Amino acid sequence: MTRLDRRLFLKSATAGVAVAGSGWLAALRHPAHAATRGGTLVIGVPESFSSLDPFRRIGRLDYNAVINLLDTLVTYGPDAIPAPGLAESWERPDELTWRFRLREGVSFSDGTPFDAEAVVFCFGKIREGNFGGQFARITSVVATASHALEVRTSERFPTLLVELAQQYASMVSPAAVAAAGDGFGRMPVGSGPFRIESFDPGRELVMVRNEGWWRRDAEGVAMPYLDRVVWRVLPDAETAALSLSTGEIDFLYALPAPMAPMMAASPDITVSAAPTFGWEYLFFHCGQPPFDNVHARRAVQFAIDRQAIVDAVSFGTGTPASGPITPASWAFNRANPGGGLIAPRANPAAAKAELAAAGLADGFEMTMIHPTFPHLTAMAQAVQAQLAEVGIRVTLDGKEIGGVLDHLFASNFTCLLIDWGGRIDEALVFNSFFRTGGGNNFGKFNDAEIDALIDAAAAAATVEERARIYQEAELKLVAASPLAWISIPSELRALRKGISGFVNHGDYRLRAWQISRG
Amino acid sequence: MTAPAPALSVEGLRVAVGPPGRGRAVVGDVAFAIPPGGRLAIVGESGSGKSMTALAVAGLLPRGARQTAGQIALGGRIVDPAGPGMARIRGREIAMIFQDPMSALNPVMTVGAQLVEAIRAHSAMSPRAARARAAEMLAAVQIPRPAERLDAWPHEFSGGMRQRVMIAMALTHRPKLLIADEPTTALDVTTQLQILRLIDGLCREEGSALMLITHDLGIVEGFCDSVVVLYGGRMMEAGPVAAVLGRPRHPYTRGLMATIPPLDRDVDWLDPIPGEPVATPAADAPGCPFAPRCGLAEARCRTVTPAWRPAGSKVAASCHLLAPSPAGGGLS
Amino acid sequence: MGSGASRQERGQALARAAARRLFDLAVVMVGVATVVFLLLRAVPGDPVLILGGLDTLDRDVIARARAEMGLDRSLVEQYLIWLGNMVSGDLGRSLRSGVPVTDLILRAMPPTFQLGIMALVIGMVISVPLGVAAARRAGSPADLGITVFAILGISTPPFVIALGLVYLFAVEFRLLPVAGYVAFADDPAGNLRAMAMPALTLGLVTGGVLVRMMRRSVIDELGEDYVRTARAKGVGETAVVYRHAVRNAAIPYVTILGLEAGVMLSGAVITETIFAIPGLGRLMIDNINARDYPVVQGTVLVVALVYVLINAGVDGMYRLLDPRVRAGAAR
Repeated sequence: MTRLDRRLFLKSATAGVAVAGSGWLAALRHPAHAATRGGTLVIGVPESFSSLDPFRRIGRLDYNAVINLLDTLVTYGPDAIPAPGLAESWERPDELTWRFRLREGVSFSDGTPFDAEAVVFCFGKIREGNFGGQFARITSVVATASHALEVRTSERFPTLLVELAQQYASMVSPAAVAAAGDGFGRMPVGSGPFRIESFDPGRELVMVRNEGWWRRDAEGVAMPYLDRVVWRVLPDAETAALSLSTGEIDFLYALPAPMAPMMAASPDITVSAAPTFGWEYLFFHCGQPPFDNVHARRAVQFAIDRQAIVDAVSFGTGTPASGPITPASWAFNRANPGGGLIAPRANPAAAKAELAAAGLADGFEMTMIHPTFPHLTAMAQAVQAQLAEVGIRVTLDGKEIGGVLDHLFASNFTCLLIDWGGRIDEALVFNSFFRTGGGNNFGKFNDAEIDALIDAAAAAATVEERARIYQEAELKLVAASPLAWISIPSELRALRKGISGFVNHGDYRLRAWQISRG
Repeated sequence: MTAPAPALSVEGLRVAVGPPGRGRAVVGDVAFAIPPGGRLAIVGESGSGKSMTALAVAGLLPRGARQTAGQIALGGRIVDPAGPGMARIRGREIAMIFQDPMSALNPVMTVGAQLVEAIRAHSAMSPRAARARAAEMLAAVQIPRPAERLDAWPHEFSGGMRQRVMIAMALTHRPKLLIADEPTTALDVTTQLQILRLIDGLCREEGSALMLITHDLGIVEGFCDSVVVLYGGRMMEAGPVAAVLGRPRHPYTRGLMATIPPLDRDVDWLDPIPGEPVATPAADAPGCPFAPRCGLAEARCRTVTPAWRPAGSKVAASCHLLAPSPAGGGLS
Repeated sequence: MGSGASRQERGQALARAAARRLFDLAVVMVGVATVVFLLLRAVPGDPVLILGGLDTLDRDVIARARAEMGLDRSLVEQYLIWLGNMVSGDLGRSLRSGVPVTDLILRAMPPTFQLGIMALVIGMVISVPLGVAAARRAGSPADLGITVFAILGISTPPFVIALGLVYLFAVEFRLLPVAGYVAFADDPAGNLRAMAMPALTLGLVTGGVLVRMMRRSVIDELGEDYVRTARAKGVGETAVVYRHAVRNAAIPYVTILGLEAGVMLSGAVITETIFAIPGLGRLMIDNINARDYPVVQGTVLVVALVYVLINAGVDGMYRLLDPRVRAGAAR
């Protein structure tokens, strides 16, 4: 575009190289600590809360509060595989029936007992809520005993457990719902690790320990360890960082990538980074020229230098993408990511060959829509420069995010750069993005073979089997290139030394019950 | 026998405007004295320096103007009008009335408050007593229902009434000298005479000397006993009113006379003064400032400053033509 | 004059003036309401999509959310419903949280008003003595210094001032918290500590404008005839300046003060963000970004109402300060 943009890009490029060389990235993975009990953790969060009503469409930050307040029937264990939550165990006597055994002796923090009747009530709330559509296949939920439940579905529902692990399927106190009415979003009551002490959505959310929480750590010690967790809204990144350096807050919920090197240099502060489940990526409109031709899509795929973008635009904090499955996923092919088709570095020769195969040997022109967030703008400019190398002339069309989404949801684009936070289960990703008619399949991609694989994966019995099928689908997807995956952003957090137990899963969830002071 | 010290004496007064060092003289070598209870008129066209002279005496020169030379004495005591002590003298020993009564009163203070302020500026009177005194003062300047009017705002008063208020304020402390700078110029004709009579009467009552700045020779004749004629910041002629106006020596005074209707004399030689007064040279430039407009001017008038010389009984003037010249014969 | 009849007349005139004002207010509010409604909808971006982003999984969810938010109705319908509710005092509910907009606004008002008032007081405390001092010594080095200070205040972006203050008071000397807000009722000392830097930030900006205004006005007033009259009376110079010149200079000053109070509401957006104050400015941008229409509409209406009230306040100040205006209004 303009010289100014180019210069900006180059400036950030040099900064990125410097960072990558310093090797400060250190994910806190295994905290092996003897947890100290007590104390307050103050977390600085970058935006206001909207509502903590889990059945509404609320923001990512809101879900982070919810996960610390409310339990779900199913949770994720290590490696993101469904594990027991309030449901102790489950079985599937036939394709259309699920039986859950519920945890006994659990109460909601208002004293209401947790039992099968409460779960039935919650299913009602879930299905009335904004995400009720996710559970449309359920025909009945019946309490078969005080702590036993039977769920029947109209058709096979292989992703039920995954759905039940989502925050929109939280278990809440029926009595509290009845008492709070419209105000439930201000004071949700569940059985989770913490309960709300005070809540001012634009300012501060204060949680205190739920002394009766059922979960124990590996040593059998009751969790959570902290007495209180304060979520303080600090919308300005600069002042939030300063608050961390003065010790007014202990934990920075979202660390902007450009600030990471500076933060990491402070002796009082640890920076934690982990790859997320999300992508920064390009949508192609597969139903119209030039990208109705798979070779045109592959040309772009090969022309992108992912490593350069990660270094320059993300200050070395991201990971070059190798395909739709991210390194954090249980389905990730560690031996040969994405089948090895997409390398971190660009392959201009391959790109030119694809252009020739598409009958576009002289390249082509296209417009690329992108949101005007600074780092996505920089990324769009980098892609523009890289595609120019192989003769693809890109006109950038930066729009405010609202405008971008309007174009995206109307499938009104040729090529569109955007990011997303990812899903913890590949079923939710593949169904939505790559299946014909999927919810996020805005590029109108369709491939019967891939559809069949996606369905097969959903029906597979074991995790290993599902992983194998998704990897097979991934190979075909990379070859068909309905998207150009660029990079996997990192979840970046900063915390003061002396805070232990934080595990960065890269799923944008802050599990405060694992954290302790000292 | 020593005469009583004059109410005001001014010696060698010079006033300049503009930045120090690069200023322009607007008043040069002005000197006069007013005996106690005397009435001096200072006359001249606009730009003649008469207002500047008055303001310099009161120490009220506007921003950018300053006195550069001269000595001013009040009742025989030398004062520094620009000095910090002047605030104690102003309003008590010297008082002043201005030309435009419409703007001379503070629009956001009641008339009473402004009078009380004047009273209390120089006396320890209680606010209540000062208010009573203010009402008396309003009565003295013939404002009806004075006690009620104390709470009125200036904008509720006519121009004539405002000037009465100004007079009341000025005379509160029975000043030795009242300076009235064109006090009636902004008023309509019927009011003018009333105001002048009021000033005249009150000055007599209080024994105040009056320094009246005006361009109206009719007023001079009616209310003053001596006169100073200024042109271009310099004194052209000075003396008793009857002598100066009865037999003007200086060509400028004569020209000025032409601006009032001839009364009883044959004045066929009097022409309206030609030229514009704007073109006056600085008050310290060599030559006679009036020379450019003077019908009788000679070469020396433009280059040599004429001396101040007696020109008859108690009259003095500054004009080369009054001196015996090599060509012989004075103007008279 | 001064009789009962005239008092009655004056009362009627005042009542008429008040009625006219109320009518103007209604027109302004409906106008603002309409413009905001249309502008918001002219901006691209659908609240449902923005809230969910690509986490929105299926079109059912979207349709359901749209219906719940009333966004499936026609624009005219939405407008009329909203306008009707507004007239009955109901500003609707947040699309995101379902909380009544009135609650959100009432909660956000105290910090913003406190910030605005503190900043204005700081601005006045700075500007009156400095402006007057500069005017009295116009052209002197002191005047130049004050003018430079004022121009710095005006031209430095508020976030630079804010961060400068943070580095100084919070990071270097650790006297004040970097950011955060506590309600006065909960902790008065903590509240003042939290508000000190934001108020100073806005106060310095506003103070700069007001210093210039005060200086200019006092210089003008000092040249007026009534000041010469006061001096002629023998009134001391300080009294001349404050009792006479400043009192008259207060009239144009109050005009600018009113404008600044309005500007304050927009300045609050940045300051409230930097210092994490949950006020109206934050409420507005957060919800513009989220396209939470009812919240933005409600907030803008309240802000417009505040503007109108500030204007009325300025008019009231004129009446207080200038008897000529009082006379004109009763006529």
